[in-house]
Amino acid sequence: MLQSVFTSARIDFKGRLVKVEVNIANGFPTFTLVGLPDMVVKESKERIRTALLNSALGFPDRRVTVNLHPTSLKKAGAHMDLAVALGILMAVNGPRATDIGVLGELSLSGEVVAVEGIIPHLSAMKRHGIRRAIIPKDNLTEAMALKDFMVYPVSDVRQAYEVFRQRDKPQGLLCSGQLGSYRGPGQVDSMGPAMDLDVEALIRLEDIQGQGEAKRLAELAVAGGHHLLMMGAPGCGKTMLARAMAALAPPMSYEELMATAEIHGRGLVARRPFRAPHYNVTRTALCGGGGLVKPGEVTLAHLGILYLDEFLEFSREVLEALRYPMEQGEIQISRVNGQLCLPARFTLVASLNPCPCGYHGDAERHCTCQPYQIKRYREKLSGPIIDRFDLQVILKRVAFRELIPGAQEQVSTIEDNGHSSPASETAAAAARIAQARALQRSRFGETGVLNGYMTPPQLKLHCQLDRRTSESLEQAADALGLTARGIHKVLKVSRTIADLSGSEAIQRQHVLEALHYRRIEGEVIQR
Amino acid sequence: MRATEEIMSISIGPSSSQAKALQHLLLGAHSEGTREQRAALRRWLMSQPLIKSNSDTAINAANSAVNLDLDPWPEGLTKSLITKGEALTGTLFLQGITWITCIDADYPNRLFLLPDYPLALFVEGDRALLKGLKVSVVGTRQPSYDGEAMCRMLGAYLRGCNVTAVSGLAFGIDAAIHKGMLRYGGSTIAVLPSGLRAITPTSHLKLAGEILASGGLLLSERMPEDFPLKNHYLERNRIIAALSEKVVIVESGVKGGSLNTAMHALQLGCEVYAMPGAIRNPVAVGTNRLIRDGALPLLEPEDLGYIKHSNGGARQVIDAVGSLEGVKAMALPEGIRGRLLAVLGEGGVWQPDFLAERLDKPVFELLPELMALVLDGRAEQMGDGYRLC
Repeated sequence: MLQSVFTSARIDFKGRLVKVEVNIANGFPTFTLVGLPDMVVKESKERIRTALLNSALGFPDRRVTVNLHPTSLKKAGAHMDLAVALGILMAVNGPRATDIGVLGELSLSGEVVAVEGIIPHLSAMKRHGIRRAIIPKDNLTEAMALKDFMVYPVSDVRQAYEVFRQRDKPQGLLCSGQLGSYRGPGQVDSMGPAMDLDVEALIRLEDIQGQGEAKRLAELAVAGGHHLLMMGAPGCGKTMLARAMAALAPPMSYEELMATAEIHGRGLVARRPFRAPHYNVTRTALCGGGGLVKPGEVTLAHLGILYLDEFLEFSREVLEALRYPMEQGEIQISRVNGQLCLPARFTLVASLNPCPCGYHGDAERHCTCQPYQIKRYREKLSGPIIDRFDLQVILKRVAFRELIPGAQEQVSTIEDNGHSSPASETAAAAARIAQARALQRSRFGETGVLNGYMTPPQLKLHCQLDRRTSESLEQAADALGLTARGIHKVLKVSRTIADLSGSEAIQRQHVLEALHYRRIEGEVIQR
Repeated sequence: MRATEEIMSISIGPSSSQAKALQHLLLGAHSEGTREQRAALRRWLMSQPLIKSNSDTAINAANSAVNLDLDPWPEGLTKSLITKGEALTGTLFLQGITWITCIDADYPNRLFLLPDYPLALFVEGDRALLKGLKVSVVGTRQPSYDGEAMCRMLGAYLRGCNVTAVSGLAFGIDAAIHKGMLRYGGSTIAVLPSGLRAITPTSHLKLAGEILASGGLLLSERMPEDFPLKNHYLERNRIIAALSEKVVIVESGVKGGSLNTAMHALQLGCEVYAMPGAIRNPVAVGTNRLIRDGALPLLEPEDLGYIKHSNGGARQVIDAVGSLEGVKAMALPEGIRGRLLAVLGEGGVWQPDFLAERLDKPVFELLPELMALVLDGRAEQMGDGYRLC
């Protein structure tokens, strides 16, 4: 008797609906699994047989043939165990519910074990019109983040079978985007590991002394998704600033949560990704690839921040590979087996020293580099790469007085009288960012596109300048030697500055401020 | 045979050719002789009345030097050196390089102050500059904006006074003063550590070309194709110091070649000027110490005390130096713009954060104003900050 059950598999980082067909025929007892299963799936035969027998549900002593459809795509993972097991039970015993998806790995005792990253699978089912699913109990909190979906959490295969038979009209739980204790920046989440980022390592804006200009840049970069290039001596606060940006990043919308969960495939990503690969990263690790394609850092940082410290220590090959995703927000991986286009809409934050010894241009320490060393060091920063950074800043070290806690307190007790609490700085910036992001959402929709990734037609539409302002920009482009892309970048940043101040039109002062942020280009190319 | 007799034995034929033989001897000794042989020649020259190649003194000297004792002087050396010197003149002619020996009229007299003055110099360009008023300007390879600004001001001033600037074609202050002179149409001399056909650093080849095109002079004691060795830089410094009566150190760190030049200058009795700077500025430490140790402070180019000529050059001086006063004299506009101009007018490069602190305004309110000043040509962006033009 032939029966089928729906489950899902992750293929090329997308969940895909998989139909498990089970046929039981007379003949010598065999158990055959076809449809390009990988080793883990093949081994599931043994788990399923043992689990069913240990749960006293019985395993048919006949010819069992299981087909995983679509048959031409390689499927991995043990999360299809439960679906196959239920398919076999149905094929033996009859009645069934066809519109329930099934996910779960089996242990030998018949327990249903949690699946790593259930959201991509459930989203795939949802896309194909399946609105309910049996899931492992341990995956419940994660699944609850989904919207408009019914789940039946189960702990063992017997329970799953009961639900599946629909005998007692089992009660499902309706998911409606509950995020548990996940609330946003600064919050420790209880929904699973805060991936990629140690919450302890977060730094708030008020932890950074001085550097008013740099903080403004951090705000701009986060608000509009602009790539930021920071040049400065060791110890001037580049890394702190990058971490503060992670803390400033607003919570993800529902669509963004689903997108990141799909990419990472390891549960709900609790906060915006912050990826900081070390400079020994290979091009494949950065862009993605491998025999069975894995997402690279650019994709893992999708919708979040990609922080490249010591930018010039990365190999040239790696740096040049960033050019396409920086501009297009996606990365194409071409392999023998085919082409894959993965999302990579990250905000690149890069930091570098001005010279090999790090102190070129420093007010207090003497640079010991030879001019040719500096030249060779900076040559790695190719024109096309610099050009793609919307925001460029040269950071200076802060005077010691501002760093010593005692001195700082004295000043604040005299001047503040306690009426401006230190927490207000991050809060105020976060509020402005939220406002700017809201304006961008109304402009580009819920997909999370930001000003930094505007296409030229969008730019034309959303960055209208009045006559006086465009004259100023023309004049500046001439004086500062801006490229066409440079002008676009200035317009994008002006848009974000206007958004931060809540202004619908881009005003002259917005453009002028944006012009200020293209500085390293001049500094490096002149030399 | 004694060397002098050998010289005597050449004195067959017209006097001019004998003087030429002396020049070739010096050139040959300079290029091929040993250190001892050159020292011996210098001693011999010192014992002579002032010898000049263009007069009879050369012949007289040779004639009267019967009792001279040239110590390390193997037999036949004079002849071989003259032959080598003569061969060298052919090569130099093909290379387009001229040469000056220490008995030539063009040879700068001040070089005789050096115990080991070069017997010959290789030059390219206008050698008349060697006889004019000169001031040597050197400094760090990593100047601050103030140092570069001083070089520009010096360029304008020295041009106005028809004084030639001597420097070493190195990075930083050296290049800045050469460029400063070129900018205002002044003349400048570059004393190279390398040969004239192996200009170092190579990235200054273009600058060397510009110096020649503007009627300047390149000078070196090295053979044209020689690349510089480490000690050549230091030996070059003694020539820079000796060429001028006044030596200016614009900026220098605690250590550096420019302090070596200053030391030579003090030994030679030059007036040494140093530009003072902030005490914590790493490239002002050396110059500040020089001032403490007795160097003359150079606050403005006029401190050098040259007399301005009343031709076009002088007006350029006023234009360049007077720009700051010009801006200050202008009535400051109201509002942030005016306050910004006032603070920038204090001089130096201002980072936006410091301006924000001074004016007590958030930095993003100042940035549009600063950029507007740049677009209006009132200020310029310096990478890490802004300053008045």
